[in-house]
Amino acid sequence: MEHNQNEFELSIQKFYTPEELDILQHAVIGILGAGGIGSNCAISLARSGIRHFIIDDMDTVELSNLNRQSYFPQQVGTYKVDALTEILTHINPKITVEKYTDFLTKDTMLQHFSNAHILVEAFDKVESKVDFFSAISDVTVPCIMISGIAGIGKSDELGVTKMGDNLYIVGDKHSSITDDCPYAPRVAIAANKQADIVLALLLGKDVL
Amino acid sequence: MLIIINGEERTVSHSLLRDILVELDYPLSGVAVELNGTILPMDTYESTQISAADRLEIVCFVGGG
Repeated sequence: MEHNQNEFELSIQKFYTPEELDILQHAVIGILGAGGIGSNCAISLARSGIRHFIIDDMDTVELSNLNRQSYFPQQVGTYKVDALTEILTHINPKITVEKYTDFLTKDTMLQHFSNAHILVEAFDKVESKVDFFSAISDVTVPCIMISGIAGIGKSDELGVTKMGDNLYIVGDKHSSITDDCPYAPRVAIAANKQADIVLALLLGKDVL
Repeated sequence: MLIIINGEERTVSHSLLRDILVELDYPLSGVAVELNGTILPMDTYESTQISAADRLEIVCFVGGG
């Protein structure tokens, strides 16, 4: 059990058993992509007590991201992994982020993530999602992907599909950003469904 | 033959997975397929034979994240 907890961590103690909090505080969550999905997912996990993240995103924050990504105007121009780390450590100073700005391909996809207990795929591009899917074929840790979050309305279509033993895919599977724009509500709903799956898996609760 | 796709019974005229995907208007790239509970590698769609009563879960990857 941890004894050197800060105000934030003391405040979340009432939501968990000591054993549950211990699990959350020792979990390592890998997040691939820190855009609308990755930023929102990481923030919910931070508020839920997760302390350790591995996050990779090659991009810097742009003004056009702010309609859905959890960044602030003063962070425009900084690497998303730096901006997100700043936000996460504001929530909980105990949080550590192992951050990378590499462009990940099928062959390099998991190079930084071997210590992660759960992988969250939060890429924007289909090609990167396909590369991730191909790269995880031998991975045994749970993997949670995103497919279909664009547009406005019909938010109940943002579902969770389980495939195989350890893959979950969140989204409506058809709303592509090539057909419609991404907006904050559906992006955040899907990102938080991923975060909820992470918590359910860690705490042994039903995902579906 | 009758197979089950995404929980629904469907009749298809082909048995090769690749041909079934084409028949049902799925793209051949960017599609995840689970056959009877097991995820198939993407490079096996051209060689995987589907049998009657098989259960397929098919998910398209679309952009946005």
